[in-house]
Amino acid sequence: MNAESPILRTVARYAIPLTMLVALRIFFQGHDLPGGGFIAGVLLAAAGAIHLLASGVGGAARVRWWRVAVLGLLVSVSNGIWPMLLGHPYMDNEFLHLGPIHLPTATFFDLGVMLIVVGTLMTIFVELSLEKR
Amino acid sequence: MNAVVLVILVPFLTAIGTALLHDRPRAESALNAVSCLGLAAFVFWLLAKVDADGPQVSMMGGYAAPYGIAFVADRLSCIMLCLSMLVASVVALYVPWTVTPLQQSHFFYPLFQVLLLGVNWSFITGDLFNLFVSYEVMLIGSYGVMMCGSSRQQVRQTLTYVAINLLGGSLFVVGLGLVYSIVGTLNMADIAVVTSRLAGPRAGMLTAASMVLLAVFALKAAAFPLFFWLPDSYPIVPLGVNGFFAGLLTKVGIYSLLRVFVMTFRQPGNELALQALLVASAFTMVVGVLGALCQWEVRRVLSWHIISQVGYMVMGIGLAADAGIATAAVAATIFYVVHHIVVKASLFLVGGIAEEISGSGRLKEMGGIALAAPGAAALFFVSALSLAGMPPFSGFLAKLVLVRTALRGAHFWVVAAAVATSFLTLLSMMKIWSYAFWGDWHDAPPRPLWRRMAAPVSVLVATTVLLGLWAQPFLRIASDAARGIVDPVDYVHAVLGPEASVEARSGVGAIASAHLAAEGRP
Amino acid sequence: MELPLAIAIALLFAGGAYSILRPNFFRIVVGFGLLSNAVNLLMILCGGFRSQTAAPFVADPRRVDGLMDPIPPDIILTAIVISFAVGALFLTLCYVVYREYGTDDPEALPVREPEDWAGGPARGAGLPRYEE
Repeated sequence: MNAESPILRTVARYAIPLTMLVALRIFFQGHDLPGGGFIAGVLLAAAGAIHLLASGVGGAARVRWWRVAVLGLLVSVSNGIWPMLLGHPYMDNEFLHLGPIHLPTATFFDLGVMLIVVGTLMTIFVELSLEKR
Repeated sequence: MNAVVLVILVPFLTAIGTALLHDRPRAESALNAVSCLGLAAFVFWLLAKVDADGPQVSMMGGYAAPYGIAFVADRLSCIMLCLSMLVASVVALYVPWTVTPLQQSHFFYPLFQVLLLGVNWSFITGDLFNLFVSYEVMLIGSYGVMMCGSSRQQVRQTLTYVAINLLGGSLFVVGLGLVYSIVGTLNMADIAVVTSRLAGPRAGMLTAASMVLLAVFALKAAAFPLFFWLPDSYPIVPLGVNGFFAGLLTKVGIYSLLRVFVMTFRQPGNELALQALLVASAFTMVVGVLGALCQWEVRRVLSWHIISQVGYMVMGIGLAADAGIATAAVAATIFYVVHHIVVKASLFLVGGIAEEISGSGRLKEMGGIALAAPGAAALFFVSALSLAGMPPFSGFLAKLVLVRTALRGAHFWVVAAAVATSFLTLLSMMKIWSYAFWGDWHDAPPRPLWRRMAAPVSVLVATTVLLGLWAQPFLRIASDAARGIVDPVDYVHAVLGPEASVEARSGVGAIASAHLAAEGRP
Repeated sequence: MELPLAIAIALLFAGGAYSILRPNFFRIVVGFGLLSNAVNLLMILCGGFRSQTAAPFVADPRRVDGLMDPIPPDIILTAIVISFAVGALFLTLCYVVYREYGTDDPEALPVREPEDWAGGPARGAGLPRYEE
């Protein structure tokens, strides 16, 4: 694939933010409908893949994507510890009341899942792009 | 008690922490060791608490028992957890001297913690589905550790190991589906309640379905016809962590057999599975030791011995088919598992020291270690005699208890196989001793690193001596744990609440307690 | 609905077993893929699947009849993720073995490798140190 293709770069300029917006929508919809962190992560990684195709692997290869996945794991696992500190079971659901918004701790679990999926998929994409033929 | 979850949470967080410290190898290995030692202290405290107060349960997310995910720590779980953390701590203090920079850059420490996470999870879980997930987590960790360093040999042997476990995982899901369609639940305590009242064709169907799970656990435990994957894959595991593989991974299969086939499935006809295990055990013992006799590399000899030793434990589980001696047989199995994990791990670790000293793992290229490093030779001598079952070490007592139970049930042919295997074990240990440890030592002094490696191993060797000389407390807790498995009233009450009741399997409980009363025990 | 599903499961199992026994890495990978799909379908069948049952999304907590038992889909979802991950690892290993040995036939691999094998990748003298 030619990384300098102007058509691809023009499309990517609009496709990437749009994909990210859809990912955000699906992430929050996942609370009680099909959706959630996994699918949002896959969509974000798809946006990343478009970026790799349009602008080449140079910028993305400087990020150590596996660290993103490990951080996501940390977010998901430690999210369950918080209820334990309050004397509840591990992974119990607590609510944060921020004015009219009720934020369940499950949101942070899903956020972690999203980071894991993005990190893993981007690691694979970058490694495959860097492989010499 | 929610703190039960810590036994899987701590390895999980340590895996993340060591991965984040990837650029600083010394900090990584220090975190690994500190976390293992801390968790080891916790599980010994947990064993004391469970022994005093009964099984401890934590329901994940607070969802109630047969539907939510239960983590249950009863005596058997805690014994297994103590062993796993003891071996893990010793390995964590041993590996900093053996891990190469390349292995470290292939995420050795995080993968080791993932392996530990899977093992601990399988010991603490209270439902069959989580047992499946923990198996897979453990296997993913073990694939990674096995490939650390990525030599050709490692990649190739890992390929067969992955293939055989993919097959095992698929069969596990098949077994889960069949069992779920018959009993309608996957919580072990709930299955025990349902199956203890099951009768007629549904009981027969459940026995047939459980055979799939029997095959999966026997594959994991490397029992007789399903042992072939083990002798080729264990020798490629990186030095140091192979002690953990040898000690713990096949014993997860043994634990699952005990937990699922003795405690959970209680329908009439379940004895069939246990009787099949009894027949398989004799073949496992004999085939394993014969395989060991014709090998000429230290790791291969020891790997074949794992199979032959698994035979003894499977024999104990098989003896539980006989209602009159079920509790005694399970107690003997648990004591044997304790002995075996300690001794097998220390033999693999001492074997690693011998390789480090002489620079080769081939018996014909070794020799004279007793002259060059008498301390290492002493460690090997004690562990080898213990494995073969010589008094006063723990192996003698473990085999004595097991054989006495088998004689009580009049299973003479299994006893014959067990005793013959014991002699052949001694023979092959003498082979390692005379080729690797006796003989002349060439002039160069041994590499001094072995002393640092030997220090943690001596803890394991001291444990086997202790188990042999001061066995009463260990035997007492093993027989209490066995009673909790054969007659799981406390377990079921702890998980499902005091209303649930589990009926003793075809009078097992009554007969077993009559036996215990006859022996003057409570 | 049970009968067609049962036939599909049987065919998938048979195809998977046949492919796994072929002396070719790629077919073994495909065979394991077929096998995991057979297992997942079996799980659906074991969960009491009827064609009338709806997916278990509870819109109104007072009306849960007619919904499918949510535990089998839950198990299948986990099993799919696990078999996908392990299958990817298996494919990678097959590729590496193919690249290193130049053959895609598992039976054509050499039995032992004397040149870099002395009881495993230990650190002793005379063994490759794996340092770049």
